[in-house]
Amino acid sequence: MFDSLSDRLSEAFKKFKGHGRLDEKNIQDGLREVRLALLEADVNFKVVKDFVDRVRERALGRDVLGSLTPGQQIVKVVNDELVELLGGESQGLALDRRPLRIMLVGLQGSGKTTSAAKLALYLRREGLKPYLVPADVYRPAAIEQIQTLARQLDVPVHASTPDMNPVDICREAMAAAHEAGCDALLYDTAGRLHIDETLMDELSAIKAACSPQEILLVADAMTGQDAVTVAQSFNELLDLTGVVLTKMDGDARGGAALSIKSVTGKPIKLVGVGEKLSDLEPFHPDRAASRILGMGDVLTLIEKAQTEFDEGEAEKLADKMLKSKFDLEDFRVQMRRIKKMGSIEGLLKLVPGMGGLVKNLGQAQMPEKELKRTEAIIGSMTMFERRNPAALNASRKARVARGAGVSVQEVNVLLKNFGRMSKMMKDMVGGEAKPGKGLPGMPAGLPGMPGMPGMGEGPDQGSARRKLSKKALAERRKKKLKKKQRKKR
Amino acid sequence: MGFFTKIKKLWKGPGEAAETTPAGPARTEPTPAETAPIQEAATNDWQQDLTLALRQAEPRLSHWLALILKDVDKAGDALWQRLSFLFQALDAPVDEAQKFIQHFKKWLDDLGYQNVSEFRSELQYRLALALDLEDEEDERDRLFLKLSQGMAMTREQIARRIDGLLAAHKTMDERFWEEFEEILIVSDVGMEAAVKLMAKLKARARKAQAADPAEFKDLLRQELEDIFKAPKRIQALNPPEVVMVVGVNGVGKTTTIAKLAHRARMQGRKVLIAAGDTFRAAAIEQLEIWAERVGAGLFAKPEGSDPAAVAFEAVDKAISEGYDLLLLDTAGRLHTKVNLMEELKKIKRVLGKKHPGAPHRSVLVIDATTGQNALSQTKLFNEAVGVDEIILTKLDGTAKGGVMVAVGLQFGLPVSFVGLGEKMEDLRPFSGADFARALVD
Repeated sequence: MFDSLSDRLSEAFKKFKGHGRLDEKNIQDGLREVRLALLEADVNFKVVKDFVDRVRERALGRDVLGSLTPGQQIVKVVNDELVELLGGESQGLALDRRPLRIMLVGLQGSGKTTSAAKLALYLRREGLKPYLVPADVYRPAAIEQIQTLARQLDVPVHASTPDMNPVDICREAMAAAHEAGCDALLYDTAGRLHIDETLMDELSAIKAACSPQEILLVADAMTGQDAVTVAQSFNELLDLTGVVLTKMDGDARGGAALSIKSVTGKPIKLVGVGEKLSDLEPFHPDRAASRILGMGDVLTLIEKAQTEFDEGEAEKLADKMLKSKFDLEDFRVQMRRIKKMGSIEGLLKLVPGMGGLVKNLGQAQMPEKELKRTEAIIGSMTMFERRNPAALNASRKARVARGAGVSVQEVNVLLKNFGRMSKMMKDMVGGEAKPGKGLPGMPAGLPGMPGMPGMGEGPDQGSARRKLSKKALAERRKKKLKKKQRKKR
Repeated sequence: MGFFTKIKKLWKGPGEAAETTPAGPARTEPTPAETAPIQEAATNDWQQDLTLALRQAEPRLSHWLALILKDVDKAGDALWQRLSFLFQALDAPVDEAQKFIQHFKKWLDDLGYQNVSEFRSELQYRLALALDLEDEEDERDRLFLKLSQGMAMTREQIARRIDGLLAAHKTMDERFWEEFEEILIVSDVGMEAAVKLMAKLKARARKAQAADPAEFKDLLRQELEDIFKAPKRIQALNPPEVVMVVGVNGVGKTTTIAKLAHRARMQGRKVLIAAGDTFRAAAIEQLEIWAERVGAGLFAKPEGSDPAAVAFEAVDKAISEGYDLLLLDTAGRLHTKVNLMEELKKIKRVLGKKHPGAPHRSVLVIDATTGQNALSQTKLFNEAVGVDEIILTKLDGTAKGGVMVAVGLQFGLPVSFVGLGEKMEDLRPFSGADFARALVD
């Protein structure tokens, strides 16, 4: 999401390096680059102006601390200001009132319907019973769209039809949701222009009729300077409670995110980061800031893992590993879980230092595809073979390869990797000897990843490289980086 | 071909003539005089009056329509009579005229419109398309009007700021350019493009030896016209014409396809829409409704089918059933998703294999509210499938679409249409000159 902004900013930060002291001149030069980077990211013009002024004020005349280079110091100042700009503390949805009523508003095509479905899934994970209310009677097939999504999620949906009045729909839905035993209503309103008075009045009427606790503006992360005008208009009329920023998985630099909060004062609460219905995340300003500055976002990764792996299962798994009974069947189960956590690409971006790797992966093959192939290979084995990988002799391997539509070599590569992985896991778990404690899910869940065959590499190369786990690789990168930095100094 | 071909031919005469000599009306003259009395034997006074009025009026669609709709304020027999009278007066084939009226009636029924004020502009739009009159001065003015209405918010802001800028500066000095740069950036033109545009403007100013800000508007208008100049292209092709529509999620691809289909229908072409968005929930149903509304054929496969297969079979259907135009919808995709872009390439390959030369045009749809990301979208879609033209949607909000200046400067791709509202008639051919005029005048 913020990746290319971070590229641009690190360019800007280079300007600060090599100075023993920050003076007006070198701050000026560096800040020009910061300004450019932000403008190219579609951050609102006025917001950029204020931002740069504040950073300048804070950075001016500071002596370089013993431990920080001028570059690092300015990064710190920019980081602090970015967090401030993005909204300081993260603010989640207010989920305490029942029945919970959430209203989604926004321009056409910003992603309200998809966000409504994602939000339904999100709320169910929070233990609520969501009820979807399609209130878009204008766009053809908008109601069918939400009905289809609701079916996929198995969430009840209000029986709206295009000839109903949106205000009536929303009013009646409250009773209907109560009858259906649901306690969280999600109003999906029609997309409208903020200057369309008739339709904007309709929103006011819905608000008056249903008094929702949350009114969320759904905004496209790719919006330009106009984002602020739109957000202001909706906010003035409806007094928004927050913003959902969608399509953050593209290469939009998310300038809208920076501007909206600063101009309306309303926090970004959620972000849409992919096409899957699970790809909706709470927004954390501090983490987004570190992501912008290329520092990774380990906390989000851990939380993602936690939602998918419960502690009990993790313990069971760790136990299995400890006794080195982790077999291909377990591996397959783990793999499926990881897939449920969202796209691998998205996950990798969260690992410090991995942002760049994702770019390279994008050029080559998608790891998702590799995962699918691995799954197919394991799927072609009998349960006996999965439990006892050693039993796979040449003829069994040939059969499996035929079944999965791959070559025998590929089956071999998988088995080899799996063997290496189980050994590594045994070492890891054995070394720490505390299964299931600490970060639940992490030790058990993620070791599945190092074994993923051929992350973008061919089947015959990379045997030496794959011995290293992701973690080790990341560490090595970090060391290298540090060394580089030291050299430069 | 279809509908109204004859009229088009007939029309060519007066339309062209109107510019030079008043010979135009003379050619249409005999028709009302001959046909009306024969059929009705001058039973109705209004026909005589109308004949007279039409003959005296300037040969322009808007004038004729004004006469036809005089004293008519609701849809009904009076309107249909008057419309058929107009067609008769223009010597249009009776069956095609009837077809036009039937279609229009059905459309009014579908939407529940009653008053002339509700559908007048749609009627004029349909007549202009059916009679091939969109290029006429008359229609150009309407487009300009629509464009300036749509961009009213934009224009007000930019024009006001430019005016303020011009008033505040006596010469085009550094301060002047700095402020102008700010205006450009606020309009989403972007830093890089703003710098480029200013360099060009400065060169132009030097060449014209203009230092007075009063001349600035002219310079800007000329420059914008140049940027948006569409290159000449070979229009001839092997039918059916295949148009592939691509873009990121939520830019309005499906609605744009409906509007394109409507246009083509009104121009008398037989249109097939292929539902290539097999991913988004209910995308197919949405197109179904549109296809029915605009009277186009639809080819669809169940949700989740391979979009390349949809494309393949749709071309089959288009060829065997003699369609003139195939509009292929595709699922919205973020341009950074490598696998989805590969899917697009495959669709394009399949089209080309099935029907040489297809897709004849790949159209990229861009949302006018998009900021600098539009550059990245254009770049990656262009790399994947070779974009031929851009359609800019949602220009009726407050967004300025300024990023198109950057896209124009960087890629030289023409903008063929702009979306100016939710109505069918709100998709209009784009001209750089009009855009510039609407923007700064």
